[in-house]
Amino acid sequence: MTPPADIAELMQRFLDDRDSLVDDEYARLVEAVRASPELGARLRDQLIIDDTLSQHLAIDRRHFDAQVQQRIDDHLREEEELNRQTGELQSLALSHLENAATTAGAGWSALVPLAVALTLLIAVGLGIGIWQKNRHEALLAQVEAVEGRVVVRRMNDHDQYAQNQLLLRHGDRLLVEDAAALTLRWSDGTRVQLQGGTVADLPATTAGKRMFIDSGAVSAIVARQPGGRPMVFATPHADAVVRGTELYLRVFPEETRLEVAEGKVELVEHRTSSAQLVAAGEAAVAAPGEKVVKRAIQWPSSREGLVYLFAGNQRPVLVRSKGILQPTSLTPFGAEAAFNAQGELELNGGLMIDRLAAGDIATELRASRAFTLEALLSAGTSSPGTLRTLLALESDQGVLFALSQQDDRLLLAVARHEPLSDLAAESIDLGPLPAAAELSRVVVTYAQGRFTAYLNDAPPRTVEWERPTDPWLASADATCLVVGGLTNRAASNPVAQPWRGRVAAVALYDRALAAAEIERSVRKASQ
Amino acid sequence: MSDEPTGNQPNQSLDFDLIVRETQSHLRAYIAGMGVPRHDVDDLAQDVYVELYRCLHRIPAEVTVKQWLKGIARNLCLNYFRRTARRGRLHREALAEILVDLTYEAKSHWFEGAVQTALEKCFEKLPGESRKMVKMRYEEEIPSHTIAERLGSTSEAIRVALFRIRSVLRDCVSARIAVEGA
Repeated sequence: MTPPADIAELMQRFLDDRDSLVDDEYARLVEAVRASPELGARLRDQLIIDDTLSQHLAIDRRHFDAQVQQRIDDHLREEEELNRQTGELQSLALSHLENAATTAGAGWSALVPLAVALTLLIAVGLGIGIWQKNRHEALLAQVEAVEGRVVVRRMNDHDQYAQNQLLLRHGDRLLVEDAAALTLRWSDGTRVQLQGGTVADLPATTAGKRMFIDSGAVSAIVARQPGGRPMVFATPHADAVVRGTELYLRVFPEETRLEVAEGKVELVEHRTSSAQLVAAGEAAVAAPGEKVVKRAIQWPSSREGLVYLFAGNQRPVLVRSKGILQPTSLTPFGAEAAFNAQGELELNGGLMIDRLAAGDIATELRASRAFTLEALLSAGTSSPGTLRTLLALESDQGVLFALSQQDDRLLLAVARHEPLSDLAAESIDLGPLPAAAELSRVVVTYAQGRFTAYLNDAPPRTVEWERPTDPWLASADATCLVVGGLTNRAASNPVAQPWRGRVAAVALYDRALAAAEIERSVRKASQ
Repeated sequence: MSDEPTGNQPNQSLDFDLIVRETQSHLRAYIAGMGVPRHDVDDLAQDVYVELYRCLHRIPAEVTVKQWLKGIARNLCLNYFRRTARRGRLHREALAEILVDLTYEAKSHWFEGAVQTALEKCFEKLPGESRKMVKMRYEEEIPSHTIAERLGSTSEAIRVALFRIRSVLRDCVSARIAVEGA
C-alpha cells in the first residue's frame, strides 16, 4: 500500500526527527494510522528498522549489555546502603531489648529500654518506606525561591503559581515570565536557576536528573552525581551532560550556548552527535547539524536585552536601534577625558558624551520598564562631601537616571527634573563604593519598583522605590548619555562636579538581570 | 531463553544476564516501534531491565519473560511520552498506543526472529550508494540536511531515499526470515 503523498511526507519527517511535526501534522498522521492498520504497520516497521540499523552501526549503542550492568550495579549500591542503615537500627533495637529483658521486674524503669527498642523497630519499618520515597523524590526538585510570576503546569493541565517550598512532580512544565526568576533545589544540593522567559520541563527518569530547556536561560550548580547517572540538560539542539559542576546554559531558537564556571560538562549536539568536553572558563555552542564549537567567554556574559555597550575602545561602542545592535560614538568633551593604553576611559575633569545613542536607549526602556546598568570602574580621589556623577542619561528636563558618588557612597537619582542641586538628598543610597586602584564592578537592576545593587562581591542590596514606577520609564526620554559628569546642568550646578577615575566598561540592558547572571558576569569581568 | 510459561509458581531459575543478552535487541526495537527517539530508546530499555532485576523471581509463572518485559516497556514508554513529549503530547501518546497494539499482531516477526543477522546480510546486498547513505545516517549519525549537502541533494530527497532503503531492508529481512523459518 502506498500512502498518500502528504502522509508519506509526514512519515518521512517523523522518521527523520520525532519532534519535527507540529500539532496539526501529528493529528493527521495519527488519524491516517488509525484508519489504516497497514499504514501503521509500515510506520512501525520503519521505526524498528531505523533503530535496528542504529543499534548495529552507531558506536555508542554497541555496549548496551555493559550499560545495563552499570545500572544494576548502581541499584545494588543503593540497596546495600539501605540494608546497612536498616541493620544498624535493628542492632540498636535488639541491644535495647536485651537490656529490657535483664532488668525485667525492676519496675517501671525496665519498660524504658523496651519502649526504646520497640520505637527503633518501628523506625526500621518506617525508615525503609521513607528511604524508598526519598530515593524517588531525590530525582525531583523543590522550589527554593521565586521572583515574579512563574506558572507550574501540571500533567493534568492544571496551572498553579510557583511558591517557595513547592514540591515539583514528574512532567511539570515551568513557565517563567520575562521579569521573573525561579530557583530549584534537589535533595543532593543541586541548585538550578531559571531566568526570565525560560520554558522548561521536569521529567525524572530512574537514569538520573533530567531537564528539558525549550527556551530561555539556566544557571546551575550541580552536586556530584552518581556514576552512570549524570544530570542532563536537554535543549532542542543538544544535551549538556553534567556530573557535578557550575554552568550557565542559554537556549536560542537557532543554537544552545553553554558556559562552564567549574568542573566539566559534555555538550552533545543531537543530530551529528558531535561533542565537546567544556572545562572551567570555557564556552561552547551547539547548532542543529553542526559540530559543537568551543568559544572564549567574553564580557558581557549575555547580550540578551543589551541596549548599550562600551567595553574599551578596541571594541565598537554599540547601541540597539530598531532591534539591532549598531555602532555609536562615545566622544570626549574637554581635554581631561581620554582613552588610556588599555582602552579605558580616563576622566580627570572632562566628560565622555554619546548623543546618538540616548534616544534609542530611552525608546528601549520605555518599552521594557526595566533596566540593568553594569559598569567596571575605579574611582579616583574626591573632595569630602562633594557629589560627583559618574554616569547619567540626561533629558531636556533633567536626568532619567544618574549614578553618582559622594565620599564612599554610591547614589542613584531617578527621574529628576529641575532643580538638580538636591540630587544627593533625594538619591537612593546603593551602598559603599570601594576606593581601590583595582576596578570595581557596579551593577544596578530595576524592575517593578525595586532597585538591587551589586557592588563587587558584597551581598546584593535591594531598595524598594516609593514612587509610582510607570510614569518614570513609560515616559522615558533622553538627549545624551554622559560618563563622568552632567552636561546640561553642570555649569550652573556647584554640587554636580565632574567625576574622576577610570571606566573600563559600561553595559545597559532593557531587563533586570538575574542574580546568577550578575555573579557570572562579575566573575568574567575579573578574568 | 524459553518463551513458554513454566507452571503456576514464580520461576526461580531465570538467568538475568542470559535474558538481557537474548532479549535486548528485540526489546529496544519494541520500544523504538512506539516512536521513542533513538537517543532515548536505550535509557528506557535499561529502566525495563532494572525493573526485571528487581522483580525477576516474582514474575508469575504463567507470564513469559518476554510478555512481562513488553508489558513493563509499554507502561514506561507511555509514561515517557506523558512526561517528555515537547510537541503534540496527546498525539504522540495516541500514536504510541496504536503502534504498540500493532506489535502484538501474531504475524509480526520483528520481535521473534534473528532480525539482526538477517539485516546484516540484507545491508550487504544494498547498492553502494545506499550503503553509503545508511552509514552516514546511522554510523556517523549525520542529519539529513548535511547528507544532502555532501551528496549534492536536498533534505527531502535524502528522507525519501532513506525511507525507500528501509522498505527494501524490511522486505529483504522478512523474506530471509520466512525462508530460514520454513
